[in-house]
Amino acid sequence: MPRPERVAGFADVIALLEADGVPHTRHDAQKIVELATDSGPAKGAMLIRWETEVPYATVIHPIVMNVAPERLAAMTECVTLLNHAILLPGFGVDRDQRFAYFRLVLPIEPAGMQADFFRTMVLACLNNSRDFWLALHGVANGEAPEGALRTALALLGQTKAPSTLWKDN
Amino acid sequence: MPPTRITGFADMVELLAADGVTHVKNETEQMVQIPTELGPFKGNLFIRWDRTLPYVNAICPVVFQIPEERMAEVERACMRINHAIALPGFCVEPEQRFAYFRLTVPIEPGGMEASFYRLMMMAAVHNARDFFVALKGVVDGAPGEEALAVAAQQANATAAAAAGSAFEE
Repeated sequence: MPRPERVAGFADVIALLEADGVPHTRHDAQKIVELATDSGPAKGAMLIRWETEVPYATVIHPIVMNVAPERLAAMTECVTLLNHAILLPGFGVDRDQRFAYFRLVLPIEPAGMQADFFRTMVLACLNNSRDFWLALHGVANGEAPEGALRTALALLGQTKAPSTLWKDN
Repeated sequence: MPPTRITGFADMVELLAADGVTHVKNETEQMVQIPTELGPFKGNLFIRWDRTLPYVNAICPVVFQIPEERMAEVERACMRINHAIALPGFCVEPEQRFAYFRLTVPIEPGGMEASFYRLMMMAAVHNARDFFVALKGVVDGAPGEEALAVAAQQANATAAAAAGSAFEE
């Protein structure tokens, strides 16, 4: 399958991953593809969903599962502070299923998105998840949100530009 | 001739001028301020062209002067709404205590199709409008967990009213 120049649909996402040799599991019916991730402390799976009703591709990386009910308020506060502070917000909390995640919604114009740029943005989702992974886990484990974020931001030095390295996976 | 693709701040301003959109521009900050009035929502849309990263930020302040004791509840409401909607971006400014909608749109090196860019800027204002009443309610004492349901009821009422007026015609 040739590497697409632009990503304009689910088939192009798959073609790009295959051309770049990125291992993935596809779920054609839902237009979801799952990528295993292992980047620093961030280990798990990232999902790319091609939306059918709206012109978006959604990239989601779950970060902390099974947040204790009594830590949901602190997690919500932490995610709020984080989204306000960073350049590419998208952290969220599913308050019913009690997990925290990073979710990037990419608006895709009718002609699609340049394939290299699409890849960069998918990696930005992974990088954000990685960069604040320990802070969010710390909050889940009892740390105060402000302290956990201060540490994470200090370690970063500054909020980062997205990586362009597929091999970050 | 209005630009067909938006690749920078100048294109953004040119498109606004071509569309006859009232705005105030701040060249130093690469930002424009557009007064908005949509249904119950009256405010401003700020669009900032990021100099160092490939992003455009569309920011719509929604409710101001949130009492200290309502901050956690508004955070909860934002989190609940963000998790449910296709295009998340509600957040709270922790020090000045206001809620806003912020859409960070990644822009590929070749820019974004002008009509699609316009659509995304409108999406930011529409989200602010659609959840303004619900968030204001939370500020005034309603539970944050119910904000989504309140917004959905309001949307249904608006749709019903629109359908009614069409029927009368």
